[in-house]
Amino acid sequence: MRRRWRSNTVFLLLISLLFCGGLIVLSASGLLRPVEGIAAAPLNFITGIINRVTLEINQIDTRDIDALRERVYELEEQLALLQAENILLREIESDYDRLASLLEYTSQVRNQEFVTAEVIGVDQRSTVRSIIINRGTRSGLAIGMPVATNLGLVGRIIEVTANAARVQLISDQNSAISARLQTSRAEGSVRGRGLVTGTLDMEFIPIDAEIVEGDLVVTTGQGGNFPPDLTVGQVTSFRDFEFELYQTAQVRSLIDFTTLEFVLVITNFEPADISVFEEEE
Amino acid sequence: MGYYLAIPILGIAAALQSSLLAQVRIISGQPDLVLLLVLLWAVHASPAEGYFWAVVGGLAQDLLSVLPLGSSVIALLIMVYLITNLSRQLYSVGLMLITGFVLLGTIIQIVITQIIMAWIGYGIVIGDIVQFVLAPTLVYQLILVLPVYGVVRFIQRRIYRRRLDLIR
Repeated sequence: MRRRWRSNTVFLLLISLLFCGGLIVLSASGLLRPVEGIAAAPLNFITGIINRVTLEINQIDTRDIDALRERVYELEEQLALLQAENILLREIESDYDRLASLLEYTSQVRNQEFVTAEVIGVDQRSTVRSIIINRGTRSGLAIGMPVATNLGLVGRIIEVTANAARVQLISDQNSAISARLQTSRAEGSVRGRGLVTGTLDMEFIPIDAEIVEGDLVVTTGQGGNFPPDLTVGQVTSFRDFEFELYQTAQVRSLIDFTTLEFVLVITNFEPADISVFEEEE
Repeated sequence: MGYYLAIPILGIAAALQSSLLAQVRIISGQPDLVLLLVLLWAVHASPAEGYFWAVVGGLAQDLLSVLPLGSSVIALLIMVYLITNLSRQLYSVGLMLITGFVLLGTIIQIVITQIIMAWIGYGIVIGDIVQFVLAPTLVYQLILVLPVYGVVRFIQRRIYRRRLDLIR
């Protein structure tokens, strides 16, 4: 059995070797070229793919990769710096826009002198509505000076140090401003309600005065606390009851006190002291 | 199953040998991956399967070279015959023996192919062939015999186990 098996394999080997010999002769003579072409096609395809991949890998110079990596780090660093600079520039642009609008206002109002101040603090107590600015006596500020922006009256200085001052906002409930309606010229007193929204009440408006919603309210200059014709706000609503002696209007300041950043202090206005006349009476 | 795996495995091996491995030459020697696969597969395969692998591997190699078709098959057939005979006579075939067969097969392969190349018109210098082709190729074969053997055994265990399961 074993010998039979062995002779079978030897026979098979000899047959295979003879077949290979014949194949070699035919192939060397070129007769098998068409068959070889067809048979080699899939192998050539695979070889082509491998060659292409190998070529691409070889073309990548590791020094190029290191240089590229370094360049990426540099660019990322530059990007971070530029982004920080961009944020700063946006802030400066925003400040510029505000200051430009203040400058436009100051250039229109020729008979007033201003000192620009930056808001550095907001009083958080619920009963007092005030802000702190970064200018004080060294900049020529004094108690009583009015503070405004291009949008209108902000308040007046109630405390001052060498380098800072506290400004009572017109929305403070202790604030009272003599004002008039721009259209009807009817006068009244604008009081703060102590609200963050900056809502004000204009009281003691004569009963026969015409009040129009949207009408501007400006200072009269009476009482000597504020110069005349400073915008206080805009009428949003009013009430007129028959049994009341006066009309009352709700006024909203054009200024958003929560986002106030720059203000103008009117330095050439000196509040008039009329208390002497009141005492005499 | 081993018959079906011969064509894709040896086809890819031949393609790799003529492309990627051709770029890792030491002087003029390069790994003979097809020979490694055929001989290592034949160690634990049936004789018929071993011969089939030899024919397919040899033809794939010749299709991607200047050698006439069948040139590489001769040495592979001879080595497969020797391996299958020896593996049936021994209880187990150790790694040293397998490595010896691979090295012997490489030498026989190079000798036969160089004779055929001389016969078809390529001039050969024996000294150069030994120094620049044979020696580096043997070094490559020594390096690759273990990893390739590991892969071949891994595949064979999977397919032969399945065969045994089917028989059971």
